[in-house]
Parts: sequence; structure tokens; C-alpha cells
Amino acid sequence: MKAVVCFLIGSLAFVAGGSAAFAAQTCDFDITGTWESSPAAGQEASQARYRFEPNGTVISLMKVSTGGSVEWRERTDPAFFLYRLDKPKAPTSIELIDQDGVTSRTTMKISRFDQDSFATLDANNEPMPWVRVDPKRHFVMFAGRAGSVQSGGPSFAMLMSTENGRSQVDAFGFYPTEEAPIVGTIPSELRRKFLNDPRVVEDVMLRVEVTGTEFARAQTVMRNWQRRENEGRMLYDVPYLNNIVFLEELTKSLNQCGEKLHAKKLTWSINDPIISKRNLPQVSYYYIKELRQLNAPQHVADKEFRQRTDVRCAGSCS
Amino acid sequence: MDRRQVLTGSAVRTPRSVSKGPDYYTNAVLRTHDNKEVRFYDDLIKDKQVVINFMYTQCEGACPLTTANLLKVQKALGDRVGRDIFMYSITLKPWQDDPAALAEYVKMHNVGPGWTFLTGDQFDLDTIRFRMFRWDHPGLDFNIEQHTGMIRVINDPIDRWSMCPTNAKIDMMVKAISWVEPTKPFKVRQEANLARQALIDAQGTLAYNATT
Repeated sequence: MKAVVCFLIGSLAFVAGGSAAFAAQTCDFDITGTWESSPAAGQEASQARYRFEPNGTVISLMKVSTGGSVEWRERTDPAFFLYRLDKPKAPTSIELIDQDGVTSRTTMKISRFDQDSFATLDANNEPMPWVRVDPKRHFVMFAGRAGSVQSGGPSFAMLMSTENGRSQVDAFGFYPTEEAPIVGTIPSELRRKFLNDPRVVEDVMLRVEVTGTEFARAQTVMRNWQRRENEGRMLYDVPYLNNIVFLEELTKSLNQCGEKLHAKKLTWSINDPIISKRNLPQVSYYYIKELRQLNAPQHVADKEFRQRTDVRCAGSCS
Repeated sequence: MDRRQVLTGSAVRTPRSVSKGPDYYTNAVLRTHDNKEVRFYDDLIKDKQVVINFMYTQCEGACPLTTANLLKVQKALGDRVGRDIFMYSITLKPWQDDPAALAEYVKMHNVGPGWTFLTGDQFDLDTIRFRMFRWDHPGLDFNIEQHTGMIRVINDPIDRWSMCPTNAKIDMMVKAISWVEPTKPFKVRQEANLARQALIDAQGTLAYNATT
């Protein structure tokens, strides 16, 4: 009896609140990579690209048209070689330095930044936008099938990168088999069935285009779970729980630095519309279905996907 | 072992360990507040009776009370701590609590020997926490505040577990720690019961309850 009382006292003594346990969430600025700057409105200047290296050097790139295609090549006569940010993770100014490493060519104020863009102020205090250039396009997809109330249907996430008409897909989540329900890497023949907009009402698919940094965060989540699968270190013994936790974590990773997807947090309490009304095997499916409804304007339909990526077979040929 | 021992069944048998072993606990590499590298199962759990809680050094909720009470528990257990009972506090926020931060916490609270504070990789710490404190309820399991107010007690060789809130009375916590110890022989338990009955007979039930 005392043991029960002891346990209950402890349960009541818990402090409510607090955020999810996983990892410190940072949205620090990182300038390394290639950026394209556009001239301020009304100014006559061409677009320029700069590659910022982690060692503090900056490489100017110029646009070269060769036989109908456009290439960006390193300039042989760059105006500056080095850059310096006053606060690398949250900069307010960037200084561009001459090739002697000492002479400062210019210092520009940074008026705003996020993971994939920033703006500097020119001499007239006009903002000049800089956008991260990524040759790849990235998509996060959530797919599911209702299945039965007893065992549920496949419900999983896919991370797709496309470049030059080719795609690469990683898929992780839940799928039922005759032997057991499994949470792990989705077999390619199964994921192929969900790469296009669903044709039956039992299926659901949401495809959103994300930036390289958002994609990298989603990849980190998926790789963590792939590691859990490989090392037998799943958080729960119940696969359905692992899957819904994975899907929610993936969604949260996309929203880490701003609301990319509209999503309702599962509260796991009696007033949660999904948890309270659905059997556990189908919770992931209904979570994805709700995500699809909440983010309908962001969904990239098959036709639009092909136009954006030139991938004819929506990843199924990878 | 000779033939007589085998035939009479009097051979001394080495008790088979029923430990969940490293597959369950993991052999994740953690770092102590002394900045020593340790393997979670092999170095900290194997063949030991352990008391484990999760905390973080900047916690202002249940943690200060937890630490204060665990200090009293450590005192109550006396020299058993570090000899046959080992106390471990594992951080929930490894990105804040490096060995130096934990060492500072140990120094600030005047923690004695036999009680080790640990940090490590988030992936490993999450795995360990779920294996120790999981409720099978994501709403609770992902609220890290839910895990700062409990101790998990494990006796590895006999795989006996208990749990107790850290705001319980100190003697209750000490009792919860003793629950995982091997069951005493029947004769010892019988004698203890008889002694208790004698006390009840002499003092009455209410007086007896008040003294225990």
C-alpha cells in the first residue's frame, strides 16, 4: 500500500509543462555555401553569386552562357577574397576584405537573416536580398493507407532530393507484414506505390517542397530512427508508438525555425481528436491525413512536381 | 563437483544471472562528472545495485528538491554507497551539461563519493531514459520534466527493479532501494515477523505503526 501511495505522491508532484526532450533546438545562421545576391529594386546590376567557405574565404562566381546552357564559373579577378561576420551565428554585419587580407573593401549591415536567406543594406539603405543557391530540390512526403483498425496500414515519411531530372528517396515508418508490424526502412516496392497522388480514398499523401536546411534537419531525424532500427534501440516496444513519435519529430524538425507545416500537436489526452477517437494502429494514418488537410495549399501535386523537377517518374525510377 | 554432490543435489550452483544485459541497457559511452569515459552497462550497471535518476543542472522545478533528498538518502545509506549501492544522476540536457557543468553541480551540492553524475550523446541518453522510465505514453515520455522526480532502483544480477518519487520521505526512499535486494532466507524473515508481532502484542497496532 505504501508503495502505491509513494508512487501516487510522485505522480502528483510532477511539474507540468516543458518541451519535448529531443535535442537542443538552434536556428543559428550559417553562411557557408553558395548565395545569390539580387540588386536592390530599381538598380541596374546583374545577379551575382558568391561561395562562402568555412575558412573565411569568399569566391566570386560569374555567369557564363555556353551553347544554350548557363554555368557559374569562378572569377579570375575577384574584388575581395575574405569575409568576416561580426557574429557568425547571428550576424549584424559582413565585412569583405581585399586579397591582402587586411584592407577592408566594404562593410554591409545585415538587416535580417534566416537559414536560407539574408538581406544586406546598400549605400542608400536599400535592402539587397541574398538567397542560398542549392542545385538540388528537396521534398518531404508523408504517405499512408487506412488499413484495418486492428493492424493499420503503411504510414511513413519519405525524403526526396531531385537534381537534373533524377531523384533519390529515403523512406522510413510503419508497414504491416504477415508476421509482425514493423517500423523501419520502407521497402522500395512499397514506397513506390505512394510516390504519386493517391487514386483511392483510403490513401493519403502530402508532398511539400522544403529548403536544403529544412531537408537536412528532417534527414537528421530520419537517420536517428534508422540508427535505432539498425541497433535495436527503438524507444518503444509498440511499433505504432515509435512511428507516430517519428512522424511528429519529423514535422517538428521542419518547424524548428518557423512554421513550415501547419500541424496540431498530439496531446495523448482524452480531448485529443485523433488519440481519443482512433485505434493506435491507425493513429499515424490519421495524423498524416490531418497534416494533408491542414497543408493542402502547400501540397505539390504530381503535375506540379514534374514541372518543378523534371522528374518524369516521380522517384519511382530511382 | 564430485559424483556424490551430483547425485544428492548438494552441488554448489552458481546462480544464473537474469540480468537484461547490455542489449537492453546499452553499452553507450557516457562521461562522468570527473570527465572519465564509462560504458553504461559494463561499468555502471553490471552486477551492481544502482539508484538512477535524471536531472539537469539548471533545472528549477523538481530537481533541487530531488538532489536535496538524494543527499539525505546517500547519508542514510552510509558507507553502502560506493560499496554495494551506486547512485547515478544522468543529465536530460547534455547540450548544457558537460562534465565540467556536472562537476560544478557536484561541488555546489557537496555530493559525496559513490554518486556519479553522467552526460553523453543525446541519442544514447534518450535510449537509456526510455529503457528506465518509459510510461508507454508519448505525452508523458517526451515531457522531460516528468522524469526529474523519480528514482529507478535496479539490482542487476537478479533483475529486480523498483521506483520511488524523490519527494517521498527519506526512510521510504531507503526502503524502496532495499526492495530490490535479494529475498532473505525464510528463517530470517520468520524471525523478523515474530519480532514485529511481539512488538504489536506489547504496544498495540497503532503504537507499532507509529514507530515504523
